[in-house]
Amino acid sequence: MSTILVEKLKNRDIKMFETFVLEYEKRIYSYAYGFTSNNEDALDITQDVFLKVYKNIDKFKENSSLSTWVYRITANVCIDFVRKNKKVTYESEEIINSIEDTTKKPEDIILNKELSEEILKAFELVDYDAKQAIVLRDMLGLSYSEIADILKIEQGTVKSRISRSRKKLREKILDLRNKSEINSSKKVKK
Amino acid sequence: MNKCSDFEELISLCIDDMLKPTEIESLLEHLEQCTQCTEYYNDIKAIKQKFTDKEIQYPENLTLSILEHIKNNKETETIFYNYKKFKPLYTTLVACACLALVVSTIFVTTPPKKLVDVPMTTNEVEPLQSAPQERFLSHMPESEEKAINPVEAEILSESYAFAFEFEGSGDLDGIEDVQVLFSNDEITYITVDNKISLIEQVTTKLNKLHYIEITTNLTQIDTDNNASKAIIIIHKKN
Repeated sequence: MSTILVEKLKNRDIKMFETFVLEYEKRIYSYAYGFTSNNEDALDITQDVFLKVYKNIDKFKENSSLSTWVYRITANVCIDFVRKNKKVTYESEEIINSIEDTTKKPEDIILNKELSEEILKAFELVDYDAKQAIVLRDMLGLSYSEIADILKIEQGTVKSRISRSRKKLREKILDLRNKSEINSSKKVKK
Repeated sequence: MNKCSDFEELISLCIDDMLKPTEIESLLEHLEQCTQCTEYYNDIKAIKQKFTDKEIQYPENLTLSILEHIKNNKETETIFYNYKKFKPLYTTLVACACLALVVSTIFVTTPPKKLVDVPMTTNEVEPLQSAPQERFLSHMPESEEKAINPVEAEILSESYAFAFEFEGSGDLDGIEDVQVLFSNDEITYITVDNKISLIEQVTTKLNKLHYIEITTNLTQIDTDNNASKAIIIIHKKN
């Protein structure tokens, strides 16, 4: 069923397109920033997403909602970006070295709010699917059914993917912490 | 007996408030006995909170940079332009049109036609109050002239981001997040916040209630991109 709003976008109604940009820009930017943790890259991705929407709005068949379609485009642009720009993914060693020495035990690490930077660094180390699940659910606050629509998967799969993603992230955080502890003790011995 | 790994997904669902009461009960029972899973629960909750609380600094002029990016793209530059650039030209054209209208009115020899069929005396209508009515009715072909009351005129004199018109039963069951400004046997005026998702939601529901989008001269009412509301005009048809 064709809505008049989409029709206006398809007719390249500039006023409607401006309203559309105003409404979606922050969500798309947040999504992009979730993947890149970099303002410049997030802006590039956001601009590309809107350009793709503008160029391809005729291809939107309205089998899904407009927001789902826009998020799908964003997901595709993000994955392309990650593939082309390996710099997005930190090298494990680089992250370990950048973590300050601490006397805290590994199990204390996550609960300490001051160490949030480490969570973000560990986030860079998880795979794309895990990042995507965490960004969609925890950063953008989308519902399980919205995520299922965007990723074209069953809700049951969304549940397990989100759970696995959080587990992977926790493991990376603990892993980084353990390696950092080992590095610290080596330095002390020297 | 369940293994700890069986509770991982339940923990994840629990922090998203997605569990049924029986599942919560079973999870709580396990957490009471298992320090490892309690720790896991606390960690996962803290991780989620970290991302939920993450504040993002949006670039200044984000909208402009997006629009400029599209405008400067080789494939789109021919069809996309910054209409604001042409605003002075637009204003000039409108001014010329108004001048032409005034001049033609002066030279018209036929007696002035009654524009509004409203039960009120001429003395009751201040020139400024009647202006919106005249403005809208002047767009209408003679055959389409309909009575428009002062409330409608007042509604139509406001600025809206978008104007849509539908024809249908007048039944608005299930239509939420709208404000009904005026309604009689023939017409209903509703407004909705100028958010695409909201407008889309309302217009989709109207489509589901078998409303048909139509265009009359009312659709052409002046729109202002900065207006906070969109107007939907519903023509009732039995």
